[in-house]
Amino acid sequence: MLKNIDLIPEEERQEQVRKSAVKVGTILAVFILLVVLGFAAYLIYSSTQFKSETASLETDIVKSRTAIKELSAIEISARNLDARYQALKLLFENRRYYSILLTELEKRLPASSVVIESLTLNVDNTVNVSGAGADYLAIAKFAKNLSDSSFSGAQEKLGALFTNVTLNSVNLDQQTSQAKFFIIVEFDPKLLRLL
Amino acid sequence: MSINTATIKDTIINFLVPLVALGVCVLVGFVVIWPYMSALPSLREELQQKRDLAEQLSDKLAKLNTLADFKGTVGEDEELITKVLVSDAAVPELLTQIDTIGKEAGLQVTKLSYSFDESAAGKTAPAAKDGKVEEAPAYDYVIVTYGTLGTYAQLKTFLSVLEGSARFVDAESLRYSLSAESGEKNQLDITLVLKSPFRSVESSAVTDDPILFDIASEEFLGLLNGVKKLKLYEFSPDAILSLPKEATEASGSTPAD
Repeated sequence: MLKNIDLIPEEERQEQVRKSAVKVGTILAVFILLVVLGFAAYLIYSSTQFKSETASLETDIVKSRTAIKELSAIEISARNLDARYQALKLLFENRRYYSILLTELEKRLPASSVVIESLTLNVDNTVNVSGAGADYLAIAKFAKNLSDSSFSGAQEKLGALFTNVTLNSVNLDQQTSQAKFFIIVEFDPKLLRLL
Repeated sequence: MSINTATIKDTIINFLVPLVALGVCVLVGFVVIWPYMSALPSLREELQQKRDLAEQLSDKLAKLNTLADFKGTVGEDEELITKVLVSDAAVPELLTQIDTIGKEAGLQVTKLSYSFDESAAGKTAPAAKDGKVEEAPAYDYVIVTYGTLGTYAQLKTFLSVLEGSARFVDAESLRYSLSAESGEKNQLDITLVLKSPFRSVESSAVTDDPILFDIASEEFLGLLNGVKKLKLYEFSPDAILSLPKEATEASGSTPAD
């Protein structure tokens, strides 16, 4: 029966292990050095690439700037036009077409039975209206017409122009037998802007 | 005495090489890797900025070249818009325009005065546009107090024509009452406060700033088409010289109704 007999002395075995460990350490150190050198080379390459591309772009930028400066007269003209356009756009967007409001108000007036004696347009989107009606019913009809969002005679999209009607006072004038009234009408300014 | 070269060789390879390798690693780390690593983000950022700027300038140049091709149109458009939003107060022209429209509507002028409202001058408010903050325009105003006699229909006509006239005039407030003096039925005593903005625009060329304005945008063309429909009142110097006698200046104060 065969039997493996290890004749290498223990000291020699330990020496071999030590030498092998030192060798692995050397290889590992060289490997780390190569990795570090490679990484450093990559960083230098990337940095050079970035600088090169930046320099190239800088050249393009200078060329573009020169070309743009040559067109400065056009640029000023365009900027002037833009500034005026923006200003005008804002003005038109906020404009209120009061002629439409007067037209819509007139449409809601019961024919020949109510007369508007005075009218004041206020900045808080209200209209103070005072006048005289043939009777209380005529005034009630006028107020109803104003607050009626589906008023048949209204222009398209302007049915809801008058949002609220407050009848402040109604008095009977003894001399003329007419009913004097004072109402405050609120209106939606957006509907006057859209048109 | 014999020299064991194999031992020396082993010592060099197994002791000095790792030591030198590690030393070089540390040196490279301090001299190359650390400085380059620190500089890389800023280099990358700088490159991105340059790319963006180059693209922005390229776009701007393309836009300017397009505008240069339509140089005449740009000039015409600016001239047209300037007739609506005038550069200076031009009060005589404004008063003449209002008076003319009033007469065309059949109104009888009883008062025509003006003042300046410069409260908005120089004031700007930020307004977002395409993600960028721009300055919203501010105007100066000529405030005209227009007193007149006429009927409801004439008042409506006046406002309608005024709203359709080229120079921008807005009704700030309106008040009327049945006229007790005229003696005619349905005659109204009307007081209108009108506001007409004006704005002097003097832009400068800023090379790196983009031009957001698009001459071919639907919005701009829409506004331009709207402006073209407005009625232009142009007055010769002779017409301006014959201003209504009622026109008086009340400069420095907001007119009271």
